[in-house]
Amino acid sequence: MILSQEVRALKEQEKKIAIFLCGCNGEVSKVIDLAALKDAVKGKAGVVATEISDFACGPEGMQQIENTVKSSGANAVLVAGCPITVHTQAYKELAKKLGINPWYVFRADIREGCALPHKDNKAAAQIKAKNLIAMELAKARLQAPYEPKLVPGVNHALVIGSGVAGLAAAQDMLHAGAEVTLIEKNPYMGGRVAQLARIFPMLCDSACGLSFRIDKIKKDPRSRILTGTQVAEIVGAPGAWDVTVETQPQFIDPSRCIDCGKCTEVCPVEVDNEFNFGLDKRKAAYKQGYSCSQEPTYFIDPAVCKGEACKKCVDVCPTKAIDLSRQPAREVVKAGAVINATGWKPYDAARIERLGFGRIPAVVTNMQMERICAPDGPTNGRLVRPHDGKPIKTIGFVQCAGSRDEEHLPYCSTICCTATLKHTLYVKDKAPDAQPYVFFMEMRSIGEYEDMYREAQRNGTVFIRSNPAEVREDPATGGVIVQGEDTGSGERYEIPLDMLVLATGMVPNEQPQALQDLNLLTSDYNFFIGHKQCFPYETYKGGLFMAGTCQEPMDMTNSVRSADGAVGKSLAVVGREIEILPNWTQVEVNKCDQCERCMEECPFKVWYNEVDASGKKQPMPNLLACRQCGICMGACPKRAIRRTGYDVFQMIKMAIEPKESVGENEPTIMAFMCENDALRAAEQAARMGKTYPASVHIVPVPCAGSVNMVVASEGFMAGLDGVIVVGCYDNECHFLKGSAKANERVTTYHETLREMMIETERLKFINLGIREVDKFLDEINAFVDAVRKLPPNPFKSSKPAASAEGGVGAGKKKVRIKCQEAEADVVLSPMKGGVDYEVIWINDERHRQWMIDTLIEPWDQTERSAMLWSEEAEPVLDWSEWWEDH
Amino acid sequence: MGVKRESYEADFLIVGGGTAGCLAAWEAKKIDPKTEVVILEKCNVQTSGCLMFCQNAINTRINNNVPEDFVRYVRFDHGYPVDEEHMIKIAKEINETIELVESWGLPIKKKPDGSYWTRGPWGLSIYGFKLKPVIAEAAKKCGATIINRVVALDFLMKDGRVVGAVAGGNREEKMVVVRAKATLICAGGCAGVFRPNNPKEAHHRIWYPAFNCGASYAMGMRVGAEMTMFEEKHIPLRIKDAIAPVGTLILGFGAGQLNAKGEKFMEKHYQHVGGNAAPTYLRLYGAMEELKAGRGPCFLDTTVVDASRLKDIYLAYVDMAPQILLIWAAMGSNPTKQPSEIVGVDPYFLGGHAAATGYWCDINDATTIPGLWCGGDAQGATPSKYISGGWVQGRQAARSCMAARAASNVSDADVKAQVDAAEEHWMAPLKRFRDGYQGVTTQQFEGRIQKIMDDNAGGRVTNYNVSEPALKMALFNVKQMYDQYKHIVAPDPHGQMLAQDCWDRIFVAHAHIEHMLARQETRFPAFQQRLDFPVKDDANFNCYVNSVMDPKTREMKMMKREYKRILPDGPGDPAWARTAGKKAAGFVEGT
Amino acid sequence: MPPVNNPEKCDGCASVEGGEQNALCVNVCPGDLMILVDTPAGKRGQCRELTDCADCMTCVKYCPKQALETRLPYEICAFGSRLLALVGDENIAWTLISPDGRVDRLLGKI
Repeated sequence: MILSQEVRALKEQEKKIAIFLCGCNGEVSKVIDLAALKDAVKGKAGVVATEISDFACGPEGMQQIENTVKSSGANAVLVAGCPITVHTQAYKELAKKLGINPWYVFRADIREGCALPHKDNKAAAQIKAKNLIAMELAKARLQAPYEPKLVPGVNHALVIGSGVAGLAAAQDMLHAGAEVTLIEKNPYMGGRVAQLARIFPMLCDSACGLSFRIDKIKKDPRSRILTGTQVAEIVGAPGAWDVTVETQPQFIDPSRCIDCGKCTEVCPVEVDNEFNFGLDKRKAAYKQGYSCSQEPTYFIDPAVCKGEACKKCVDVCPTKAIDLSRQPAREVVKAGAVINATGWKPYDAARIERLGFGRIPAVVTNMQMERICAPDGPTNGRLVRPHDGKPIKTIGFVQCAGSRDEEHLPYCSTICCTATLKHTLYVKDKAPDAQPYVFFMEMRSIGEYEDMYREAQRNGTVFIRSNPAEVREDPATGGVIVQGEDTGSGERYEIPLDMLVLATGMVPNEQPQALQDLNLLTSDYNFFIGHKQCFPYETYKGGLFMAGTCQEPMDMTNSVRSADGAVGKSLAVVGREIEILPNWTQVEVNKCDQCERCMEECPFKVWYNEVDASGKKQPMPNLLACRQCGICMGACPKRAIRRTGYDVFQMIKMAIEPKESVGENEPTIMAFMCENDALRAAEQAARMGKTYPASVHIVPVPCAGSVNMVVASEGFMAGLDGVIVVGCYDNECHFLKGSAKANERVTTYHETLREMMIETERLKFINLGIREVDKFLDEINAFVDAVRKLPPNPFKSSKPAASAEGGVGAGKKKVRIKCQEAEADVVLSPMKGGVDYEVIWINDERHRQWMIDTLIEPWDQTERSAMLWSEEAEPVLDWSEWWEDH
Repeated sequence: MGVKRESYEADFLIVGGGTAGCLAAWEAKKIDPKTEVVILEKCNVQTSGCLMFCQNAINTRINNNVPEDFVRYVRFDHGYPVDEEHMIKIAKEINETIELVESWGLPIKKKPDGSYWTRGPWGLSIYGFKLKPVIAEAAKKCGATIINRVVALDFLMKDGRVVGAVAGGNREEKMVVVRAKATLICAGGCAGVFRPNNPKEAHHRIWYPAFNCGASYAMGMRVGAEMTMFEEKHIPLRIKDAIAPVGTLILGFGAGQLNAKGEKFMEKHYQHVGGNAAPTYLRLYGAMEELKAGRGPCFLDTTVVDASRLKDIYLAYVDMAPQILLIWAAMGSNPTKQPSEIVGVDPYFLGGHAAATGYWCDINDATTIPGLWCGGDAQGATPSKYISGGWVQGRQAARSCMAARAASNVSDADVKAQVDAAEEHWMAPLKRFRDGYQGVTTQQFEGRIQKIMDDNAGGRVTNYNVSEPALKMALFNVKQMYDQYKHIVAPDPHGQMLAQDCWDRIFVAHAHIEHMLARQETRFPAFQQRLDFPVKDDANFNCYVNSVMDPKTREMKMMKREYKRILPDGPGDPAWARTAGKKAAGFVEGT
Repeated sequence: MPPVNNPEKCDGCASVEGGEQNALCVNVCPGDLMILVDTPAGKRGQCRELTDCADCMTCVKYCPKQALETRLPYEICAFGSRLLALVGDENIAWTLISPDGRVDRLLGKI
């Protein structure tokens, strides 16, 4: 409704546009007569030069553009030729070279958009090319220049979890120049990797890799590490998170602890040691983590400590470091980005009763196996049975223990097979004469890990393709007997073993409540997923990223990779000053009515209410979270939201721009196509030599959801016979709801059309995949056929079949009267003092009264009626010049 | 008590964010961007006030004459007296202001060559949808503090000077107190004092915005401001039922007025006063006389318009009075085939159209109360300003306010007593409702005022004619309404607003009756017509009749003010009317 | 000409906070007559006092869903005609439908 002053300023902004009609070495020029096209467009408002070029993107072409721009003093360039998706780089560089604003280079697609698909109908192509250029000019006149948009930010990242992913993220974040707070819920660092003996494929000591990273991070002055700490609350938005973290009571003051261990000696409380997966016990006062990590030091578990009632440790501590009355500490961390690396835990093997874990002491899990083999583990790395210390001669491994099983974990954890291969190598290394058996369904030693499979086969490990039917204790040996059928050979087997290791899979750790409250998208198995293929690490909550195994089962290599990826993502929202990507969203507060529809429709929930002193609310987008799809722009009923670079007003102007019909009784149709998918399909169709009706004028849009229905309204009012909105498939939309929203809006709009007694066939939404060329052609043809069957757009008054009632004749005369852009067909019959007239067609209703008042009624104006009734009078009378004289 | 209170301190307070108010805010901010400007608005500046219906024309623009000619035309069309000096001042700024508003985005109809599409000597054709939004946006952008959905109740006084205003919320229970160094009152004129043509379901289907209820005037009267021309009702001649304007068809399509006999009665019977060119009030008077003479009803001869232009008639109305399209369609009537019946409608009080009711003020828009300025419909003695005149007045008043701002500040304590009183008055109807008091509803109250005025103070039932005895009856009944107000109940803040509307209407009705009694002549037949003094009496009454209400006793003191005829005769004064009044008087006798 | 709401099309302006002020019709009505009422389908705009409507059609023009339509008071004319507004950014289109089925389209600028 109300054009804001800013927008009006843009309208008025003086644009000097140089047009280049590219023949594309004949591709275009063999269909379209460029000379004629030049004549058709050169006079348009804002055009200072129009040149024909054989090959605009070639060196000569570029030179020609440069010269023309210099000579004509143009500040904007419109190249009519290939589509926006081609040669983008070349024209960007051109803009740099010419020193014109990057957003002042415009492209009208008369190749894939016109010449190629309409080669069978040159006349139509000629007209359509003119229309397309006119539309692009209309858009260009409203174009605002590109200016970098900077917002203040926080140069600090919070990393949750000090597993290998968290450590990698923290370290790379520091490298990238940000401050980092690293929090860890356990008293020790290193996560699961700290519990491993060795790491495949290089079989190096896990402690080595961890110490390396941890020390680097500790040494960095810009880092902070908080162990025994969890997230209590997350508020804020990308670039400005306020994260409240809570640290368990530090009964032992780390700064005073001298690591003597006396507290542990006297501590009366004993509980299972989770670090060794319950293979041994620990005290309430204890020290955990892999042996070489010096810090953090001793720690008292508040959950099990008897507290003031006991106080043995308090008394024994030589440095008086212990105070059991200490309370949990809370603090708020201000961060631009939060990287969540909360990791995984093993699937509870006891649930798989058939395999006897928990029932038979000789049955252990693969992670317990790691502890057994770890030098700092319960058996100090000796390959013995943990419960009775008996050395192991025969050992079995059951793969997919619970994994790929509808009852337990339907998915594959990807690492267990390789881990087991690693274990057989442990065995051969520690007890060369011991015999490993592996019971498997498929070995999934992906990629180069196949080498480890081969090595295991070479060193005598027996692989049995079987899922053991029964596992029972062998009272004689204290071992187990595994029974089943070798599906490879078909033979039944019964094998006594000293120990059986279950390869259990990975499940994600429980998230702190604060994270759960954010309702981030999770998979069926509670792993965090973003748009998995295109935007992994993302969470649909800008500025909050995922790293490591909280996203899906993965090995250490991939955990580190994902951490690096998450850091890369984070850099967009971490920093003292952050530049917003080009098309930032702008709100015209004076037009906004605070209906909050934007808040409702934004898929990424980037809108929030800015409340001023008087309590007045004003919806505002968080530019750091904004994905710039323009769905809010498509939703705003007041057109108060603009997506800079390409906004709703430009779409409207393109819709309003008068378009000549491409042929007698041909409808005029506009198609707004998602530039990522649908548009490509259309271009591909053209390149494949397919043809479709020239009446369809294609306009690329950032997302189908960015099309405001006002554009359709304006289009219909301006005489469009049909409007198509084409988006990708709902489940493929990179902006989640773009296509769905567009579809929804079109459907409600149909109701409006129905009420206004306008055929709903005139407006259609289409889902189109990026490569669905045939579907594109079918849909377009079907739509055009449907519209052809309809009468012309009711807002465009058209020539009635029999010109005037009673027809022309009987002293009557039918003339077309023109004056500037006003045009009308009038049937005139002479009468006293002038003429009787009937207007039977007028190109623009808004000129009707003026034409009647000024051009038709005062027919007695001698020279004009003379002109009219003289024999040689043209059937078309152009009063433009006459008007200028008067 | 105990209602939430918001307190503001302003340099410049504007009561009424309408035609004049928005421009006033913009002008003040232009003069000094640091000025604290506060607008009190009953609804939402975006769509409120006289422009809420949109319009299809701007009736005041000096197309190709000089401002003086316009003022001559006004004093003729409206009849004397008018404040000619003041009118000239306004007229001189009108064209510039129209261009200003156009630059903000108001689409004015243009010919293909870019020149304005004029309508008669003093008008422009426009696309009216944006009339209000565009100036409201200017007011928002300029940085004025706009407080929507509050009803201005009373001016705050200190040492006989207006130092702000107090308002009540009509969406939530709250009081808004604005202390200001200068205050501009431009809250529109007054509708709903007389019984409307369609008294039931369509009782708001009237010509003037039904939500302007005379707060402008009543607030001033309550602090003893001098008022003028309240004897002059404004009674437009309108198309029946739709109450749609006729000017569009007369000026835009050359439709003439016919009586039931098919005679162009203005030409046939009233040629001596200008026929079709007769002043507005006489054109109404003509129609009324035709009815008396048994030649009614009267019609607007739309059949002269060519059938092919039906759409143009529709287009001309859809911006301004869309309801008439629905009526034509529903009744299956085609204006180019059947003439449209025209009637006089219920009288309104306003100072911006063809009537001059309002505050008595000097050339700088200053009222008789220090610290208070007036503009738009609230200002008296400057008729026919229409929209563009209202804009200009807003700007001019803003300048006076900015120039004459008193330095002295007022504290909340200074005005606490007044605010408490206002709050008690404002909350009373709601309180009574909550106490379960079976009192009078706002609809009933409005109905009674309208009945009293219609019967005895010159409503439609009496062809707008009155005589002293009737007026005395009306006066007695209306004065009683002040006391009756203590019975009114309102279920919610919206209802409180309706109650306040009734309260303000009592004052306007009262003033009208007193003025009618005082002007013992017939100066504007139909608009102001005394059966007991049917002749124009220039000897005694070629002057203003003014009044001042005693805030305590509510007694009105009447007085005369001299009319300065400063413009010599010239274009605009038709030859026959050049010597003031005589022939007009003769005309009254002649019938 | 009180506004009649089509509950199918009206969505209470999708107001997330459901605040009364948040619906456009409620926001713009010069007579303070439009309110949001709770219906099984959610909040819907409604004229609180049909007879108090002054027929300015502001709500009709501002409704983003074209859910509001105006009905003439029966007191002043027969039943059955419809006038529908389609509001664009620079233009407005009216569709006038007579009971006999005649349809007139009117185009204007805004």
